[in-house]
Amino acid sequence: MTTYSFRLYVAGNTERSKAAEVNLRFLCDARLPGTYEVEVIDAAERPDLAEEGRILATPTVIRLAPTPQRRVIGDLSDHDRAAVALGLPVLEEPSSERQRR
Amino acid sequence: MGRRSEDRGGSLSRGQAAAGSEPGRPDDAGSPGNINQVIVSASADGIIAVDEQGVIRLCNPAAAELFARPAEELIGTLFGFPLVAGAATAIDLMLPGGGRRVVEMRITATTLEGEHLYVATLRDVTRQRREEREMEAALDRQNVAVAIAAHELHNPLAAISVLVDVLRDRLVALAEEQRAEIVERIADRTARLQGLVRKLLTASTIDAKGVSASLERVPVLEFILERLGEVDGRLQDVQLSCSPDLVAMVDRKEFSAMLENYLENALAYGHPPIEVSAFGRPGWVHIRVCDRGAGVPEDFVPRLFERFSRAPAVEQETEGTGLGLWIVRSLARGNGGDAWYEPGKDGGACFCLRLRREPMS
Repeated sequence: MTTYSFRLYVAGNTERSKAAEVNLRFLCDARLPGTYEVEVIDAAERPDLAEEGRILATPTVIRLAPTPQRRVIGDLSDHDRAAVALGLPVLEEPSSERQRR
Repeated sequence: MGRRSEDRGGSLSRGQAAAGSEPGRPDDAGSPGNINQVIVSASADGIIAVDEQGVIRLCNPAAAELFARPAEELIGTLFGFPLVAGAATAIDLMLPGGGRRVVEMRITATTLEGEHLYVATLRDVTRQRREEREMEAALDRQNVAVAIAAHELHNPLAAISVLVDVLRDRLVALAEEQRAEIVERIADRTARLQGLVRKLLTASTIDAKGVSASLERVPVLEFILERLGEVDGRLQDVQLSCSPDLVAMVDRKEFSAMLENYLENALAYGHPPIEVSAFGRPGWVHIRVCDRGAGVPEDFVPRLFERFSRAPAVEQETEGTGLGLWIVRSLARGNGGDAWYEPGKDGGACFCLRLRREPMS
């Protein structure tokens, strides 16, 4: 079974940062139950890691695995588009209206 | 995700990498007739176009400025696939050196030379939000000022109205002494109103234009005597001490407002005798206005010079705007000096002022 790995870069404890993490975990729970890991990096606290990851903006989520890597900017509140952009599996019973925030 | 545009005019400037990938195609940045290029270059908004891999292919000068990185560095860099829910979303741009800038991002999909591009329009909202906060604070101050003005104007106006009615209705019946007393009371209320309006005008001038601070030579003793002469008869208990050769470098009109506010404050909240002392220190003229009242409660001292700030105990007893001390400090600092409070030696309050002293010849 493929394990998905994500790294989320946020900047400070803002509403944007919280929304991005909540949305990412929601998407993963719905589409990758038990087969994902999420690492959150606060670029405000660790600007060196943001620089190392060549992060130009936050929130940025990088799908590290499976390859190829994918990188998405935004708080992921449009779940359908975020799922497509991150290459997540399609839900067996699509119910996009209920997923929308 | 926004409208789909078929603009094939090459509306964004391309970096060397992008231009080089299409040999034979004229560089859009060099096409003088390309009106879109001119518009984008002149746009106040930052505009970047990213391809389907999330790589920045094009950017305008405003975007380079927002990212605080040269366009050549940005073009070809992996930005990420921009996602916007609704019309716009806020993101933080990570600046070199660890800084951040909040921008509002809007996305439009377009096709250029058959290639799908996502055009992100970035608008700096850091400054916008700061300006909004400043605007809100100014509106709050204005609302408080209007409320205070309405409250403080109401009582003297009502009193004047009653006194005028008495004069009009019973003019003949009143003895001359009574008429004189009523006129005196009207004059007193009018003077209070004038003082209040003066304070509000000074405060609004400080807000709108800042402090004038056109410094000039002001002989301090002569100046204080003039001001004492102008203030009402309640100042008969003032004790003055001042070196005769003391000269301050200060805006005369603003010095007048500082002194008047300190004296009014002492009259309103303190008890006589009021002592005004002026003395020199290297580089400075110090002026102290001390009274024999109850002084200022210790826990209120830190807020004493704040705008609209009035000690709870005096709020009920005495008319006032809470503007006077704020005006003094604003003007003093604008003139290169300062204003502060010290407890009096024998009880009471001492309000202190420090102004620049004329250099000794």
